[in-house]
Amino acid sequence: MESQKKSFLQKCLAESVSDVFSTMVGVELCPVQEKAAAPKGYKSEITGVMMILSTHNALLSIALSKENAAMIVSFMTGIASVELADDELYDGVAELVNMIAGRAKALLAGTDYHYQITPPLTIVGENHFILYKKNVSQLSMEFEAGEIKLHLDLTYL
Amino acid sequence: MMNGHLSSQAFRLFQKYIEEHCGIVIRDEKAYLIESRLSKFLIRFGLSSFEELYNMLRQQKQAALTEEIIDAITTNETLWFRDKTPWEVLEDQLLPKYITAIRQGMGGKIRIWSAACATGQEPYSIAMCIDRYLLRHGIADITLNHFEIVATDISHTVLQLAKLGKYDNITMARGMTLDYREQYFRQEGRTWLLDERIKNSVQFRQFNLQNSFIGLGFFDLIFFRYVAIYFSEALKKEIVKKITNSLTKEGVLILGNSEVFLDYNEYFEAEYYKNANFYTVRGGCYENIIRR
Amino acid sequence: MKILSVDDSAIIRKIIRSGVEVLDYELVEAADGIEALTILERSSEDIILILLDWNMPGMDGLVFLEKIKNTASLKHIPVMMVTTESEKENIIRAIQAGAINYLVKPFTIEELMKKVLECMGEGR
Repeated sequence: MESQKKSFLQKCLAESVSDVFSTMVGVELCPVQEKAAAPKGYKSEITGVMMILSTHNALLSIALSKENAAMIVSFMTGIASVELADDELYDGVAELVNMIAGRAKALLAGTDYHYQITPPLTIVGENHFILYKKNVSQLSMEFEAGEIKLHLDLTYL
Repeated sequence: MMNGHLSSQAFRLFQKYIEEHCGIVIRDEKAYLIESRLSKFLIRFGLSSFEELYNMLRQQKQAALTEEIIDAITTNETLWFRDKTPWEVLEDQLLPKYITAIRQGMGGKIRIWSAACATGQEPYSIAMCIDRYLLRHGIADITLNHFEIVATDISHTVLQLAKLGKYDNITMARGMTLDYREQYFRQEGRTWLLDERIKNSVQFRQFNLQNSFIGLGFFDLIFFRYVAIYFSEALKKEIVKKITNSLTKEGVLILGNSEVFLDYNEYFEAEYYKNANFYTVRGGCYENIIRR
Repeated sequence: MKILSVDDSAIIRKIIRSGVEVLDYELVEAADGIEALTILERSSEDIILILLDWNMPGMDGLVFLEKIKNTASLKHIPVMMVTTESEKENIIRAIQAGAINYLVKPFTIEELMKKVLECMGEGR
């Protein structure tokens, strides 16, 4: 991905993630500096996914551990994490990726990167990952706030 | 057919208008907020475009409408005991001084102002902090009644919420500690009700920070946290002067821990305590006999 | 007095419930437009406000909104959109279809309560 496009999209996504998490979760989630040669196929337990429909279609995904998902959804709802059912964690993660995509969509309106979105979905399973074809154009970002770690991928299909 | 698209030109016009008339700076990335929050004014006035709304505002110059626009576009974010350490400043540095002053019979109350109080977490945190301090130190001759806590916001709606003294479990999870919650709240279903005594110790008033502060009186302590970040440089300078003139002798200003106050030196001495910056007004402009 | 929340996310409905109950309203929930219509057909008298998501599977929010605005017994009920859609053209579409206010996701509880009070005309 050319560096100007990458930089622009990273800024939009960072702003979107920050807005969504500070508003809905009460947590300031900040992008972590890119590590050299991060391994492809990030493994997690819950991944929220949105299809991005544009001149170049893409998949936006946020991946996190079940423990982090429980913490985040607990902050969102004010319900203790032990009282949350698994379905509620999956729903919460789906809503978060929905809102992140929605915010980014607003930021990108009127630019060459504007898009439409589909309803979100969640992929669940210990140590799962999403396998794309070789050489897809992908932007990956890591976010952190205390113990919370989130991995975001924007993958052009 | 309503042309609702907020073109770049219209957004720039609004950005400029809001900065000139409200002193609030809207960043480009927040254009989407203007789009969603101003649309209700198109409906109310039966207008077809933002350009029409802009023209109407410029022509009519209605103060009440300008205030409604500020209310609509500003985000009211607040937390319980935000930043944590200013409360230690209050307990360790300021309350001992206030208690001495009250016992020395200085007359009148210790006046505290929480500016841009939103849904009330800050002024109620102040009241709870003072009350708990008095209880913990076995101070029986002084109560919350020796303090006057004034809380202001530009939004009538948000003040209505603050006065309820009722909070949901999500809001309670943001900054409220278990010990304060147990001491000052009771739960009804998912809602938490603040102790009536604490609720009644705060006076809420609608107030626009662009107006003169004279009517508010003088304060021993002003909480002005995470408000100025939205303002233009010109408005920030003006407000610092107005705050200076509203503080009593050795009155204190507390800003947000992460807020930078570069030009404090002209009017304030800066002090640093447990990660909190607080600013004591130099000399003070008013003698005790006229401050209350 | 009841408020109807129509959203395919149970988590969003839970969050909305927290704010609505502080204002002493009872929340009725529907996961989609069809369920909401069933609820309204059964008992619409107590429902004084509808909080409506846009992008839902099956019947989307705008179709639901148009349906109730074209139903004599339901058209009086005010509707506020609660949605990720923040682009002006879409918001104007919703308002032209009859929404009286809207709240963009993500939102804080305070914003939700403020907007609900506005819908009830209690803001000023």
